[in-house]
Amino acid sequence: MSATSLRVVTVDFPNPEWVLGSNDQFHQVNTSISYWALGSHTPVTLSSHNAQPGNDITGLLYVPDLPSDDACSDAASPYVPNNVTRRSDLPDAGYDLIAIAPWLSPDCVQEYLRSARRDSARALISFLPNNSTAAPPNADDPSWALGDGEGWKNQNQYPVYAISGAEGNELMRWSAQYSGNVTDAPWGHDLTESGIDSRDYVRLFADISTGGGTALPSLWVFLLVVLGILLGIVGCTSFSMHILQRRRRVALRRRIASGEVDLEALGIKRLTVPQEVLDRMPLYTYGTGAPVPQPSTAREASNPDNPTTSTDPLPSVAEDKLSTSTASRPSSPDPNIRPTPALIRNHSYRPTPLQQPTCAICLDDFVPASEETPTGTIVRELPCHHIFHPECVDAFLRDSSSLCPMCKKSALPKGYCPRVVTNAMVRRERMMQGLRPEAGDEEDGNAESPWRRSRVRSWAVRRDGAGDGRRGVGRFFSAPVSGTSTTTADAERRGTAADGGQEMHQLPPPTARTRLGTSLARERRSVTQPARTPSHSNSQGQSRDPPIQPPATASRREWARERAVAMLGRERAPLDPDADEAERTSGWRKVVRGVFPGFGRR
Amino acid sequence: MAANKRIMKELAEINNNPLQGCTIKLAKEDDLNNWDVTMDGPPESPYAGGKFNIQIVLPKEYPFKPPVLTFKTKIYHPNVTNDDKGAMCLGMLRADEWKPPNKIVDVLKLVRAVLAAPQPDDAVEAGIANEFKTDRKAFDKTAQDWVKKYAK
Repeated sequence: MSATSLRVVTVDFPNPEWVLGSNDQFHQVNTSISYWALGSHTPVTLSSHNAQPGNDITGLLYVPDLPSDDACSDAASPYVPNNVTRRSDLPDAGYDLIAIAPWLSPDCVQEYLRSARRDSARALISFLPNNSTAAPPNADDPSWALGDGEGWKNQNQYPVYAISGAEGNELMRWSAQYSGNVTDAPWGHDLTESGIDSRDYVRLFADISTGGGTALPSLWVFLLVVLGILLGIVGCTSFSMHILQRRRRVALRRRIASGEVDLEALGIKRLTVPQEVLDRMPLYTYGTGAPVPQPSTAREASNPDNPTTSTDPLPSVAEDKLSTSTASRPSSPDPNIRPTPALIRNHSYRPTPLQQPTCAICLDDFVPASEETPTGTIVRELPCHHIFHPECVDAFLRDSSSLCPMCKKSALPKGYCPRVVTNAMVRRERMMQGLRPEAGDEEDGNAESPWRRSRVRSWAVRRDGAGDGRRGVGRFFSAPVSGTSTTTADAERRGTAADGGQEMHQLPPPTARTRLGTSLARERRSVTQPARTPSHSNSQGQSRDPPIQPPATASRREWARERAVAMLGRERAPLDPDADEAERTSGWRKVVRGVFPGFGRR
Repeated sequence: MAANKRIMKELAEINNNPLQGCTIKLAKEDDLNNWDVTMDGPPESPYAGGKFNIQIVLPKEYPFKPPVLTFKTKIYHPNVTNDDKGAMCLGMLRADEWKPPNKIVDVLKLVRAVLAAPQPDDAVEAGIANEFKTDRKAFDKTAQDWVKKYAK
């Protein structure tokens, strides 16, 4: 490694012959009464053999001995004072040594190098004997060539550095001053005064700093190392979090697919219904109320092989006022629609014209299929059994929300999972999970969270509808009126709706059911939004106040609509959580979330 | 345009069968989404005798999104913001409570009901709500003063 600086100071260390067992008590002598120097140039590195970056090379400065009768001794004499510090002027104890020698003829340099090898010097400092104060020439300068190629560099187990000639001469001079007894050294008297034992050695000590390969200042190296470690930690954490998050996404996808998590009802993700799912939703012709022959017109068309349908005395047919649409129906907007198997529909609750005479979106009446109008209105039935004009509801489901506009229940099939499950969805779902136990704690022992509760309730209602057979209808569509008689009268006023009237007859007094529904709704609301409960029920009450009397006049449709409004679920319609979050999250937070997914709850 | 059809239907309905104390017309003849309503203050309320101009803006997504209701006439009421907007956001008017089968007539009925009986627990003006709850007389007086001042 290349040297970055050379520092020479005077040190004092005890004579190991006198002080046993403590032979490395080096003290730097106070600089005011001793020599010290910091090289004015960066030393030129001639050979970096065995020099470790960052490890300073230190040692007592000395001049290697040459054979006494060698010609080099004479050649060196002008540059090497007689009493310069030699190996013999240093104790034998294994101190680190740094040799210093003038760069004379190649032979003489080789002699010096050999001598320094013998002494196990840690480095050799050399200088051109020109007394120049300029920086020494570069390492590839011919003046450093020894005629053996680069062989000498590898022969030596120590690095070789060069300093300017003037500095070399100065070091030589001072080395000569500090080669004898303490009292002979410059400021010898002061040295002994300052408490240095006169038997001690006072010698020059060299410290060659070697920087890193890029020759960066060590502070920067340190900062870079720290930065690198930090980046490494951040990278590892980010990586493991991404893996963890990936696993969570997979788990969430699985749970969505299994129906355990309802994304939109929980406000995790605003979903829309893709066209292909929409196409699979049943389209019906809005049926007439007439029991046997009327629905069969549509049904026979769809099942020409099954003529028994029209004469089937089963009440299910009698009450089946909705018939499947068929591919052959000319007015059907999509000729490829496959009707849902009748078997499935028979087990579920089916709304009748009485319950849903009007499309809640455009407020137009559905026109039943009858003798005058053989093709009735085509209606789209959502899984929650609410029916709409396809042209009204399709665009909404496709573009805005997957929730039924009426009851806010998802129109997506069970287990439907969006193609992309994002980290944001995972985070919101986890947040919901975190909220659930808390909500449960506030209530009594077996109480469940609002979400759980709503699910249980909707399940119960659905089951009620199914198990109760066709009569389950009443549970959904109870009128906010008082007294059975009016209901009956009203039903009968509807003329042809004969079996609808029957149905109404069978129902228990509607008031009781209304109250039940309302109290359920209220209860649920009190769980989800306790603070707002009173005013809400108030305003709701007032908006429906006074209770709508069964339509004495023409507004049968109005009355049905009011009923629908009164009975709708109270689920909050979630706004788009993604847009909401994007609006409320600050930029740096988004960055943190990008790097550390799953970090922080909100 | 299902929405336009529906709005026209509602407009026709309300013109054929007007709500008591309300006159309704379109703000601009060619803009179905902008309604101008003048509502009389309900009798036996501090607002009796006042005529309140209410602007109803039907969003593009109507009827999937609730209409936006603003009082153009200044009114001293806990549920109406006391600024230039005069916004009212209550009950079915909230985005999360709105249901498509709700009609403008229902909204107007709700407004009348809220004028007759303010909802201090759901207030947008906390100060007025507080006064309404604690010092009903002072509230009535200020409300009547405002009616005289702004709603004649």
